[in-house]
Amino acid sequence: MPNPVVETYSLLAEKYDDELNLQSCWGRATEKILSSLLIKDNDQVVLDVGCGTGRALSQLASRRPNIQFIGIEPAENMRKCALHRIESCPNIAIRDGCFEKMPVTSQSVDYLFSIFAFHWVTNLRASVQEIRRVLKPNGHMDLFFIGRNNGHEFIRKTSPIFLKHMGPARFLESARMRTQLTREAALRLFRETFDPRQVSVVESYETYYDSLEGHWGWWVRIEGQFVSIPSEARKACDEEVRRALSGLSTEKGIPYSIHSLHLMVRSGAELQNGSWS
Amino acid sequence: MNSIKENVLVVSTLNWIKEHKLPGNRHGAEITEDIDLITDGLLDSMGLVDLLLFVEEQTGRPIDLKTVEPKDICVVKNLCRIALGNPIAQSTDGCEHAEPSCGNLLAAGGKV
Repeated sequence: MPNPVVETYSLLAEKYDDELNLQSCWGRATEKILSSLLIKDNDQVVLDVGCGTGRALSQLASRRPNIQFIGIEPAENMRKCALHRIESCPNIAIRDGCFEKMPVTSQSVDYLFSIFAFHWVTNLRASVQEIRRVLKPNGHMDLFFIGRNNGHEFIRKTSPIFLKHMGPARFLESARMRTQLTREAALRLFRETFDPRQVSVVESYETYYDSLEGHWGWWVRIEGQFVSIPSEARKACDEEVRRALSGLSTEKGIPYSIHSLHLMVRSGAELQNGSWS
Repeated sequence: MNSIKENVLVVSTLNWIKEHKLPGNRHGAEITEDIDLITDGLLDSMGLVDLLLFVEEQTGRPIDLKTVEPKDICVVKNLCRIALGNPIAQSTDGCEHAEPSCGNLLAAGGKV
């Protein structure tokens, strides 16, 4: 059965790197994360799961020509954009796959990272086990994904509108498409599969302010599952949502708080030599 | 015959909501069976999914979402009746809110 989230991302692939999206709260948060990633000198294979159009990969690979980079992306048109971007980068490969099923040899990855993709998994435990399978025993990982309280300002304002236009069944079905864990739940999940001493989670809340149009640019992207609303109802729904979001306006703009979880798996060697603070 | 009485289910459902409600809403202390959980910001869609699972566990029977309206699952009193297979009263005594319920919003032509 096709995944509506993957299909929506595929449909929006051409617009994914638009300036509006890059300057949005998500674009800014992604840049911040990208600059924090730490690839080690002895890493040989680096994997980006949910690589999108390959922006992060191309930036990292240009600085590390001796490392093999692999990007995994389930949305076909996103992969096409990524392949186009990396044409001149011989050390990057783009493959079709997802967290639950990665076309990667067991115990072959030194460093796995992912930026704002893990909350779309459809099977949490299978995904964690798959991560475990592909990572080398001494591999390390940084997963960034949204937490349970993400975007609470928008959710409070828009949930009654979506419920009204979608009806209970569709409304709740869309909620089930995304997995938003608390810090504690994320920690528990990964400690079931990895050595608990190697796993830690840092959570953060950061409020971004933007204009209505600025937020609207990414709104379609993250709430793509709402395409299930019939087109006539969608128009009325959009108008009501825009009105509701305008009501949040402050002097600084319209706030949106990203609740981000940063889940880290550090290698046993890092634990032993105390390099993991 | 249902193994759990409606008033017991209402109390346990309200207790569940007190434990799981979203932070920062305006219902500091009093959460009643009449308020609209979504419109009043007590739960979001994921919270509502969890609440339905809780209620289904309590009653031992599934709730058919295809046959319910927003007000049937957003108001505790209605939700508990639906969950137990009891008819929802046609009176509006459960809808005397400061803000309209999801169902009333529909009737009001969608003004939010």
